[in-house]
Amino acid sequence: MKNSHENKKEKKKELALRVKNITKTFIIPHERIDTMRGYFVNIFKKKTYDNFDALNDVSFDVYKGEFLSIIGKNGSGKSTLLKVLAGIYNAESGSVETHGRISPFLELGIGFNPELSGRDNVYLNATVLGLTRKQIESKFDDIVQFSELERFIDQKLKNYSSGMQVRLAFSVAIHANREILLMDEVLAVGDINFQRKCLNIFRKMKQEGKTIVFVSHDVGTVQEFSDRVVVLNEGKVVKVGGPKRAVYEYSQIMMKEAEKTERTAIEMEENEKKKKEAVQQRGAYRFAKVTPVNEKGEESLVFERGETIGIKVDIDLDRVEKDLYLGIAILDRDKEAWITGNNTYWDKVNHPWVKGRNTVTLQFPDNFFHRGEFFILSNLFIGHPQDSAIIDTYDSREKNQFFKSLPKDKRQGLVYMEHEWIHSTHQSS
Amino acid sequence: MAKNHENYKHLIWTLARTDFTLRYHGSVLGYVWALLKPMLTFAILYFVFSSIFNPKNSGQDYYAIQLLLGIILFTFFAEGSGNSMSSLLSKAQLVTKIYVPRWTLILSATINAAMLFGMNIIILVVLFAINRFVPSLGAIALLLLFVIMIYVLIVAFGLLTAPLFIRFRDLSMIWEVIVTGLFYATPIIYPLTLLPENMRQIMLLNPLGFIVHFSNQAIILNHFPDPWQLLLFVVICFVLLGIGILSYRHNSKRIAEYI
Repeated sequence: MKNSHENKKEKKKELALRVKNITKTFIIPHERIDTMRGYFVNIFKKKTYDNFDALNDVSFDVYKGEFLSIIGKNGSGKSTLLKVLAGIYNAESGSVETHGRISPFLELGIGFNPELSGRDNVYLNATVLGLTRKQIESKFDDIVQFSELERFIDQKLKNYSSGMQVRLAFSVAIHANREILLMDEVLAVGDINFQRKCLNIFRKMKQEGKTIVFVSHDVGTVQEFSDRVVVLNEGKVVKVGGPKRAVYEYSQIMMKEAEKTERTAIEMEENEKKKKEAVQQRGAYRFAKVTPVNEKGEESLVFERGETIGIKVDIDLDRVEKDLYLGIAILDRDKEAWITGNNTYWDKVNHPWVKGRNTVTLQFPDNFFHRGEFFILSNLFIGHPQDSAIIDTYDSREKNQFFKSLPKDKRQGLVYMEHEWIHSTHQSS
Repeated sequence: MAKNHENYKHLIWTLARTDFTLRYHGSVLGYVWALLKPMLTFAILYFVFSSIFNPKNSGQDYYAIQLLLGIILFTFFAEGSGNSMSSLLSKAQLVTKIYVPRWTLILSATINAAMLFGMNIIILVVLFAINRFVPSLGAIALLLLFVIMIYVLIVAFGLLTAPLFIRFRDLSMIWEVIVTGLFYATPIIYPLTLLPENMRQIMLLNPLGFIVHFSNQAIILNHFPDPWQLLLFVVICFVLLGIGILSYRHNSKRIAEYI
């Protein structure tokens, strides 16, 4: 079916739009001056700026009755191109030749004002889109009907829900149709019923022989509707062709992009590791040993309820750092949930750090753990805990080392909580 | 590039009318409010200045009319210049999301000011009626010419400043100060004849001063300016309009990018 469609076009090939060598350069000043005061203050200062080529020598043709999609990743220049086609931006060089009138469709409801009634807004919006008073009057009923807002049309727009506003706006836009339609991704609005309605409208428009230029990065819609696709990348036309090949090309670009970001992520991670290693190699601050201990200070891996659990941390310092703090968390082995997390910053511990071996013990008297296995996670950090530089980390999960709490009795649960039972009665007579 | 509006008149008019209704909420009371502002200004100034110096002494039998005429003409210019300066920025959506010729936005703002002026004229007519005062036909014709010239000046000003205002956002504050100064530099609350002869010539260099002074002369005393002087004035107004158009052409290319 698509083939026959294309063949028909081969025969006709009547031009709707000819885009020829469009180049659009944005001037990006290093220091933006937006007041007169600023202008006069900086009048003798040399103004420096960058030129950014959003579009670079873009050329393609659009034929009458064609659905042409422009696809490209974010920042590839597709929206800029649409704005140039719509006449909003002036291109530095190149030309756009149009056969037939354009209705740009970059945003819905341009000129809508919440204080006006739906009716007034229809008139206003349609006027902005270029309709004459007579045209609006003849189309008004259709517009309202399509929007399904007959009952609300004389209410102020501010009383509409956002969905209703979009419906009204879309309805006006549809009825303002011209020979050539420029559309930015407005498909993603409204509820599903309305979306279906829109899609059907697009089909109908295509059948009516309208030329549609559609900008998107939604591969699905592009493939479903387009006759031809222009793939843009970094302001240049990479490919013009059938939807299948173009979408392939586009996904190729996206894949390369994804690879690149992944690579940078890996690189960053490696850098981070190297930095850490360097610190550790310097050996300025480092955990020598982290051990769970009982109240006598002896290493212990099993605790009973009511005993004292201690976590003894040995730290070797080559230099004394005054903002150095220690954090210790206990994690449940199964869920890896934090049971408790404390640090010496929040607890305002005054560390008497010395060069050499330091031993810090965190004691939990009266162990309330009932039955469970627990990991220890400990951090040595400098500065405020929320934006600290972590110097060294000890994570017992890495070595699968945990301590256990054994129950004294047959109760259930992770922890033992102080409790009492109350039994009250109301005897019935 | 994209010619979508064969009917700019319709567009300009719709925008102007919408702004006007929005400003006064489309209600009768709203329009009364519109009239209240110049009336109150007039009442205060009249009360203050007719008690400070007795206008009758300097041969001003119709101080009230003179004052009101001055206020209304000046308000026309002040409102029009302010509106047209901010016209592009306040309608940013129409600049960045669609193509309409940008000058239509500027023009619709000036028409908005003209509509307000039209309403203010009602007060003036009422005051004429109360005083049983009938100006000569020639005076009315001159006033009409002056009103057109103020409009030309407003359009010129709008074309010059609206694209600049997008880039220099403090322009409106600077202009507010200038307008305040201009009010006192225009013979509204005092007659020009109060000043020494050499000062008068300087005051007439201010186009608004020229307009207000000769309007009053014509309406009240039926004195008209020298035709050559008048012609020169009209020519200057149109030269300013030309400057406005040229500057607009130069500055309007990147409007959508700077907004």
